[in-house]
Amino acid sequence: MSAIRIDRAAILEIQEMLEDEFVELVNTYKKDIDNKIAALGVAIDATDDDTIRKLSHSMKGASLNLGVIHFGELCHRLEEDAKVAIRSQYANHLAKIQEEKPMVFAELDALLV
Amino acid sequence: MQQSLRILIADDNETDRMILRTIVRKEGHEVMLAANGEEALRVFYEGRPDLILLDVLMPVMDGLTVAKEIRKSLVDDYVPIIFLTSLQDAESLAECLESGGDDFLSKPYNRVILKAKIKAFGRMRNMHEKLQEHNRQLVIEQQVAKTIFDNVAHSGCLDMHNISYSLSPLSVFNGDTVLAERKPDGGMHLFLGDFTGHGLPAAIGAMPLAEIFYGMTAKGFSMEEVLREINSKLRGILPVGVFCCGCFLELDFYEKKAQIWMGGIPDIVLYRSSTGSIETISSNNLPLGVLEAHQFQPAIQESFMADGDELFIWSDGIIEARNANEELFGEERLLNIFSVPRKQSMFDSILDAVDEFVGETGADDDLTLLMVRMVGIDEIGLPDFENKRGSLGGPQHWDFSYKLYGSSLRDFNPLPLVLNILTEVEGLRSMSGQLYTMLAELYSNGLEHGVLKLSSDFKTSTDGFAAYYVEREKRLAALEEGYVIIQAKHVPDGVGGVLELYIEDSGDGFDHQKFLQKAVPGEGYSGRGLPLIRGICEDFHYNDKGNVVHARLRWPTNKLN
Repeated sequence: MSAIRIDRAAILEIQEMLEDEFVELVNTYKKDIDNKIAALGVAIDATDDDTIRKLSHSMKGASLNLGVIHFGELCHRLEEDAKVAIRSQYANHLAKIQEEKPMVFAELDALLV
Repeated sequence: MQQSLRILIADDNETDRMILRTIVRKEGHEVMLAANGEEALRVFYEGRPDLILLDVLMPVMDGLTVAKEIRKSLVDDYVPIIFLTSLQDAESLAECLESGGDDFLSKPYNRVILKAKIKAFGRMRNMHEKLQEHNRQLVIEQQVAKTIFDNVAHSGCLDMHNISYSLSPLSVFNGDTVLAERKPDGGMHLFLGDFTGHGLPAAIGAMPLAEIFYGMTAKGFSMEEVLREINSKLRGILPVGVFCCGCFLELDFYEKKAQIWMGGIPDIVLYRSSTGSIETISSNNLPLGVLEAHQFQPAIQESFMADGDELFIWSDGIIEARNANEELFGEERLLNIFSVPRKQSMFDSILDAVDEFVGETGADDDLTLLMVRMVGIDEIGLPDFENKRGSLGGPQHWDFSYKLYGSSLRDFNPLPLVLNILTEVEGLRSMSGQLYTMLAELYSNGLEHGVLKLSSDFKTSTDGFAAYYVEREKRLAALEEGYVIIQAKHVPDGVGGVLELYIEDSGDGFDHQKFLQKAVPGEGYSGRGLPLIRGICEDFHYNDKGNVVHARLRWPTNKLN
């Protein structure tokens, strides 16, 4: 499955709109994702379904709004499983999210140059 | 040009907030930010935004709870709430609207749609604000109008114990009016009116109506004269299609008589207390304000009422009261109440029956009901017209002579006019009831026994009284010759004043000795005013012929009250 990683048109529109603030937006996003992935790890260890659902929901929303599509989709899958407590899949989803993250960050950084 | 709004953005994602903030600012709006539900509420209360963009899922307090809290705190104000959500299922979206949201915006945000929605809801908030402003203005205007109306239509003598009435406090705005005032001769005028329409248009006619009713009644004008004046006033000021249905009563507590004028109002009920039976009386006139003055010919019905008999008058509000099943209370149900045994007054029985029928639906704002009971004059006394000014003023030193000839005697009642002149002397105003009774007695003696040459002999019973009046009308209608002179003179005496009255008629003189001997009230119908006249006058005598009478009274006098 090879989805679009980043919707270029969407993020360019945001970049144009935010002008100088775009740098701050990207950095905020990255920091936010890092924090939430760390929190996800803790929640999964504790099998805290509700927290997992909320964190993945929030990551999904933030990502899709930036045009970070594939990563958002991965978060969405975790959110869906957390809703119905398919706990066996939590670690698997987290692994894929962590795998995708550096590639997303790299593409975003490239826009800042 | 679009107006700048203060917009609260509540979203726990910092990046979402940054994007939204930028979009909203670029549209020229002011932004307030909140990162969770609790903060959103705090910012809402402190910053009073015009519009809220509210994330559904937020830590500490979710968006749904925030929306409910905000709606609870806003009573008249309207602040649109647009939910921000990536939720897609219909149930979640419906829940957003049920919690108090007005719309939602799906993630990822579409800039064009967001801008359009802010614009649309900004417009809506604006309209709502204008509407609120108009409402506030309307309420203020209604309060002012009500205050003015209450001053004009003070409660008159509605608080007398032989009257019961039910009227909603804001009844003037549903077009209903109840008025009652004593006549100087001891009688009483009552009016129940129902203007077409609602709100200010219905209220506006009630003011001149009340003004005329109270003013003319207190000055001694007859029911027909008051009705004519009200009709022509309303006809002149009300737009086509607005008029006043009503019932006008004139009660005479001496002669136990009710004169009834009804125009376009439901049947009224005369309840005979001795037998428990009822008589209904139907309207036979057009409402007030419909006919031109020259076309207005009031048809007045007359009923004798024993002490304790009660008249019930209502507007159509009671008959048209509805219960939960939309059934009307109806006239039949209303009339049936009179035949049911009861523990309380008939008046209360009617109100209770309607209350019970209407039940929880409670639309009883329009229930206007008036009851008046015939009582003895001793029970209610003579009217006391208050002197509204602080000091005793008015003209103190004057005299006049007023001579009325045949045709004028036929068509014109000079007593209100004369009473008006007398009561310009403020010291005499509190005695206007007694003065009127005295004038009426002396004038009608002169007119009836003098000019019309009627014998007082057949005035000694109820039947005879009626026959007497038929004959009086007959002779009056044919009157060509004769005159009555009314002279009055007032002189101040340092403390108060002295009023002298002189009434002369063109007749051969009547048996005043017989009249003067009737010192006991209740002995026949004529001469009822004599004890009163003797009570207030320091001198009172007829000439030998019996066609001239002198009366002199002095005020203040300890003989009064």
